[in-house]
Amino acid sequence: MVDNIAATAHIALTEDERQRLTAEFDPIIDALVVTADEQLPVTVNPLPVNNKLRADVVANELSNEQALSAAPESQDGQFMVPAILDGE
Amino acid sequence: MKTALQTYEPVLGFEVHVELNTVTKMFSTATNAFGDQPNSNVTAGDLGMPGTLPTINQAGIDYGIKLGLALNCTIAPESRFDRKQYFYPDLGKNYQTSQLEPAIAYDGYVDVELDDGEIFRVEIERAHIEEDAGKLTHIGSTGRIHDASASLVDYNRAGVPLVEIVSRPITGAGERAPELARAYLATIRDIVKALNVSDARMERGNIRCDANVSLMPIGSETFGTRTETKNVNSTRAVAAAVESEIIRQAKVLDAGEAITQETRHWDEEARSTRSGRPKSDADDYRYFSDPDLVPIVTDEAWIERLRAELPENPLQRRRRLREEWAFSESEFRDVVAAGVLDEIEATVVAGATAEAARKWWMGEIARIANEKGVSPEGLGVTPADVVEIERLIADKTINDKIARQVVGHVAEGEGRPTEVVEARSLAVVSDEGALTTAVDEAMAANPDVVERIKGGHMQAVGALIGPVMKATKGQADAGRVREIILEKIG
Repeated sequence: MVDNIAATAHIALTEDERQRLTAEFDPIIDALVVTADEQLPVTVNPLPVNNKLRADVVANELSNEQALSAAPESQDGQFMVPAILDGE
Repeated sequence: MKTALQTYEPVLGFEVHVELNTVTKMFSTATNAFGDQPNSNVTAGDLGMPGTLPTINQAGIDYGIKLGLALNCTIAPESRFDRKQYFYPDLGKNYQTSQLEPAIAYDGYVDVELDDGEIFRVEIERAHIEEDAGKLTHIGSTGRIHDASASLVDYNRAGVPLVEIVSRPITGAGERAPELARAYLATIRDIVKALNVSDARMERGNIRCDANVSLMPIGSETFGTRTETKNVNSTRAVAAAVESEIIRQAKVLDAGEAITQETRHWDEEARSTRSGRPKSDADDYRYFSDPDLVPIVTDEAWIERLRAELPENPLQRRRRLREEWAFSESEFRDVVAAGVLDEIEATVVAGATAEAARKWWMGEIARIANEKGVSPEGLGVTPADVVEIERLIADKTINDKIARQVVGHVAEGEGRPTEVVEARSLAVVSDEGALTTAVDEAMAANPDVVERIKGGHMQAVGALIGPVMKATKGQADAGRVREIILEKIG
């Protein structure tokens, strides 16, 4: 499981880290199994609030300069990021 | 493919992403538009800035419900939004907001008309609302992703509302599988276009299709391992991708090997699919409900209000129009393929006969549009113009040949047909005196032709009409010229 999560998250682990994380994960997963009970009500949105919708009107847009102001690297008005080799 | 289908039964499945044409994005108030300056249609939330919160666009929900209703789906009494986690720079938040269970709409169907008019019902598992991702451009020596040294990210598209329509596995299409794939995608396109919930321009990626294909031995009820060919973005390509994948998988199975469950890419130039990456399990996305977004709870009044706004189903509309216009099957199919159904309908509504409307939209207007490389409806000739031109012909103000010139001038932006006829003095010469003079001159110049007509060769009349038309710069009524000639020859 640790290997799978590491691969999905693109994180390289050393053997030490791998073993330490495996040891840490086990009690967490044991605790989660207790909550995997379909009888429990869904608590993700505990407040009785639904349908908070907004009108389809433009607001709060950033300019291109503002959008890129915190970017470590940019080119042609776009964010520059390291090459992605295993994506789609 | 024929050989493959002697042994195997294809099972298809489609995931079609439809970009909605709302004014703003699904969860932010940034503009939803195509082709603007990169990273100008963004809010802090679209960039995944810490501390920002999403808001739900009512129009996006309304459009999703309408599309669900048009696909004969049940609308969820309560649905919510979930985070689908993945690490890729096309979404600044590191997750895509989507809907796991339940979708806004589920358990529907769509009737797909095949080329011969047969109806094939495709069941819809679900239609859920989610957001699009940003656009990556890979830069490097060749522009190919595997040689890229860096990628550029434009977040204008990140957060644009999408509805993903997921079909149930489709069996029984057999050798018509490619045809069904094409017709299914065209049907979805027609529906979203009629609903006006999307610009529905496939070449811009407004509608994108992932095609799932698997094979099972004929007689079996257990589906084979499937592959998913991503982003096949034209109706023609989806048919070709399905066919190519059926052939490829049959070869693999015939060789006693197993199909790898994977994502494949459609290569338009090679006309075949190629391997992408092994498909992630749903678990890998670690879906969980988005705590920042409250549930969507629908009620009867809301759904019925949207149902009342639904247009006529495109398939039913086509059948009705074909009957009303009395076009032959092939005439009607040509009209649909040319994309001028709306124009012909509007022209008929404006007062022309269906036959005249078809003649213009499939004839001169289509010809000029083709010459200019634009679509007929984009030429600038309106249904009202066509009606006006027909009236000018009926009045004998202009003849057919002049009428075609008038269409050209209207397309050039010279004004409405009547204005063009006046400005260019194109009205037919109805002055009998001028016509008679022109006929006399033509007869005098061609005595041999006159003799042949007298000798009973009636088709020789044409040889006299020609010079008369030339003398009147094509503005004579050919029918009247013929009458005058015959009167004179007796």
